[in-house]
Amino acid sequence: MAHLTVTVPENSRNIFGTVTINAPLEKVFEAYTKEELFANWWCRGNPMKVYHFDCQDGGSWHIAEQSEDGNEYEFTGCFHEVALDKRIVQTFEFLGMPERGHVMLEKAEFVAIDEHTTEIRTHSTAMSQSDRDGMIASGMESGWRQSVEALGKLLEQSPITNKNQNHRPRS
Amino acid sequence: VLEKAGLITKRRSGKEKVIQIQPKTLKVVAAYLGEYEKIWSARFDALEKLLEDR
Repeated sequence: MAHLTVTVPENSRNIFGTVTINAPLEKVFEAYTKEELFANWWCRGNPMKVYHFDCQDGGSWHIAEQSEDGNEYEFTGCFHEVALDKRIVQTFEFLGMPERGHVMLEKAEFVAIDEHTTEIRTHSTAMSQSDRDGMIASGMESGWRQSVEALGKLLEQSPITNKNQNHRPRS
Repeated sequence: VLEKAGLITKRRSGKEKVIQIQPKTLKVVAAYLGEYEKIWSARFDALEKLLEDR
């Protein structure tokens, strides 16, 4: 299992992530940059429609994910920099927002830990703190309202303790 | 429940009811509950599986 840590600083527009993947750096980078590979993993098993995927400096991408409930979620962005086996800098926009113009700037850095292990360090920054918080709260599955409903249920079931606030317990 | 926990505030604006997520409180639980983290965990698991299979 890939081990992901997401850090969400207070009073900030940033989201930081670190993930360790059990695969060589070149393979991981390839999975980010080759359309047929990217389409395989990014939607986590859900069908993906690729309208456009031009992974190079100045290129752009536009995809739609089909969720289990049959809804389609569209995303688009531009590749600012694609540095082979090192770094990808791009924009990211969820087209299901009530209005356009809420765009994230994202950097992913690829570091070989050893021959079979790669660390990906991500830094996403939103245009406003509410955009950042909305992103964290809702992801894309359902909009924040359903997330908040789910959150409410969870809070009813198990009161949240204040220990270890920044990390979800892992199994 | 969410209101009591300080996660959201509700107010009326004309006919509309405005529910606002309170970012500060939300931050505390975000790492636990964020769809974002769930999605990305699933995504990276899928990535790893893809590379294992190849």
